[in-house]
Amino acid sequence: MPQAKTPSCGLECLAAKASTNRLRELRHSKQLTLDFTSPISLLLTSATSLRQVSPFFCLQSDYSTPAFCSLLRLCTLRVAKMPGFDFSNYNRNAALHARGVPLPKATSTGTTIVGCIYDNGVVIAADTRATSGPIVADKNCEKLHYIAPKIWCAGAGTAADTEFTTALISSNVELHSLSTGRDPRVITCMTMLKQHLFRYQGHIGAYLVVAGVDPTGVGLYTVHAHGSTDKLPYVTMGSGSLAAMSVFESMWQPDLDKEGAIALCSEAIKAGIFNDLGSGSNVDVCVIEKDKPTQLLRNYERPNERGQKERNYRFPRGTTAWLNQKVISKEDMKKLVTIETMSGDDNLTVGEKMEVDA
Amino acid sequence: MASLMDHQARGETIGYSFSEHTAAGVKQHGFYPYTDNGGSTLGITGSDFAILAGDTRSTSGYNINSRMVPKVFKIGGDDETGEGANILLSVVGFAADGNALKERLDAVVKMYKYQHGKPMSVSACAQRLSTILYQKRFFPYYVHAILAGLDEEGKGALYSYDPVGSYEREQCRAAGAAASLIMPFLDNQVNFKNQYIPGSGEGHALEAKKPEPLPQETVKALVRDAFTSAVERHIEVGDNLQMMIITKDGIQEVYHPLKKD
Repeated sequence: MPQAKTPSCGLECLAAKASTNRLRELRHSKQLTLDFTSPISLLLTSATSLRQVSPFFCLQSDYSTPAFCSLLRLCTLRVAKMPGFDFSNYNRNAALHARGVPLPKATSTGTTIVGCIYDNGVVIAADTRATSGPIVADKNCEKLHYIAPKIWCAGAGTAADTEFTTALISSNVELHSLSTGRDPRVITCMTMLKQHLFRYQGHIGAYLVVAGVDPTGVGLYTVHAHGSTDKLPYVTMGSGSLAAMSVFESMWQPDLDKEGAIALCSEAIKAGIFNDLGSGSNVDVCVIEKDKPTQLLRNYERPNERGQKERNYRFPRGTTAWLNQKVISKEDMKKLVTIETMSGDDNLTVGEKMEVDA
Repeated sequence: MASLMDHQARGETIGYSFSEHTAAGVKQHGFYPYTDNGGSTLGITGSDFAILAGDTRSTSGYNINSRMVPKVFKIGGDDETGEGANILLSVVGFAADGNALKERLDAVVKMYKYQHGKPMSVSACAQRLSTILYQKRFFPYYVHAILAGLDEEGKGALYSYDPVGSYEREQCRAAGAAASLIMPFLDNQVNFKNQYIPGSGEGHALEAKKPEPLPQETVKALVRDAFTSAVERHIEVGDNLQMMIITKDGIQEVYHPLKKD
């Protein structure tokens, strides 16, 4: 997490993890007054578990610790007008749907995710393809989500639902652990997930594999969108679950060691990648072991590298037609918007660089 | 919004999707005789050759039926290897219909040769294929067909069809699952659409880059690039690329591996 510059603001601390929309909403409702002219430093953090950029408004660098951040999430819930989902468009959308307007399409239902316990811990793995119908939306997405340092989740189903559900439960698990003063348990996390998902009767399309190590031992569960759960030594989910399960059913044995479990999970994911059209690209692995730090092995295997293109597709300058041009000087722009010049140093760029083909 | 609803508006009365169905008691049984087997095909012509290509994956839903089902066929050959053929046909869509259509056209072209003592011209075959497709106007062959060969002047000829027989001679055509991904690429790289000659004029006077027949090696590279790119973004395209090149010396067939995920 990037550190905030020392603020010269009078407030001791105030922070809110919120989307820009939420902030605007709050400002309109006058529930949260933010003076944007005061030197509040804007922290753009791109946490590994939450792939979207979440702006943290923070006035004191010392408060950017994980524990504090989860407190901020609670603050956000407090200031919101109404907790939970906004159903105000429900009737309008139902009427439109009845008139033949198609429903918007959500990304990713095809996926292969697996999990497997071994003598001293648990391994979970996932493929990295996100689809929208027959089109590949993301060739290298992350389906392994952070819940707690020693509890991780693999998600299949609607991408947004797995993302937000795991983020919400992660937050609540941390608060629960803070208030009890104990390390969080996998079964607690699984129970919170199933109760949340059951309440929404399957409309939250999150299909999860929950895995971790806690004071009671090793835990591995599956949670379905309707709220049912399973506790098994090896599990698979998603459209590639049958391909992956066939690997487990033919190769799993009860006395696996760490390396054996990683290899087996990776092999199961590859079965999904190659035999299920909804899964593809790379293998992500997460290893959670007793008394050892959790290892997230991003792109543990890359069996589908794109080959070199044969021709060069650069166009000579001036290939594109244009009818007229208008140059707006920086001075003119300043009359309309505030311009701040950033340093040209690439290393200071906040956020992830986008992956692009050559 | 109006334009969105114009298409499938079900009348003026608002019938909510969650309201009870009024016509209760009548149970409708359905049988849908078609399936979509995915895949994509592509054809490009040059001054003295034509290339037809297709991937070899056959799918249904999220499953792969086979990684090796060719979509490009030699038509009117002397034996089952297709030796002596001078026409190529590619079919994509419903594989069973594609196969039936290929068999039927092959028989027609052979019969023509036996009856007239000379091979069928590509233009005649193109017209005949259109007739075959239209004969099944109300129970169509669910395929997008592309026919290729050399015309009377020895130039590359390519004809593309819709499922009920509307056809057109073209320089290039992509069909099947990834057609919408490949066709814009072909427009730009084969017919030089949206490409202008730098510095040739101002505004409307700017001169467009004129399309000209491409050399065979360039076309082969374009076909391979089109397919390796389609494989990246379409889940139903992959496994192998089958390419058939027809010249005055005959038909050459090459296979090329594609990604298998």
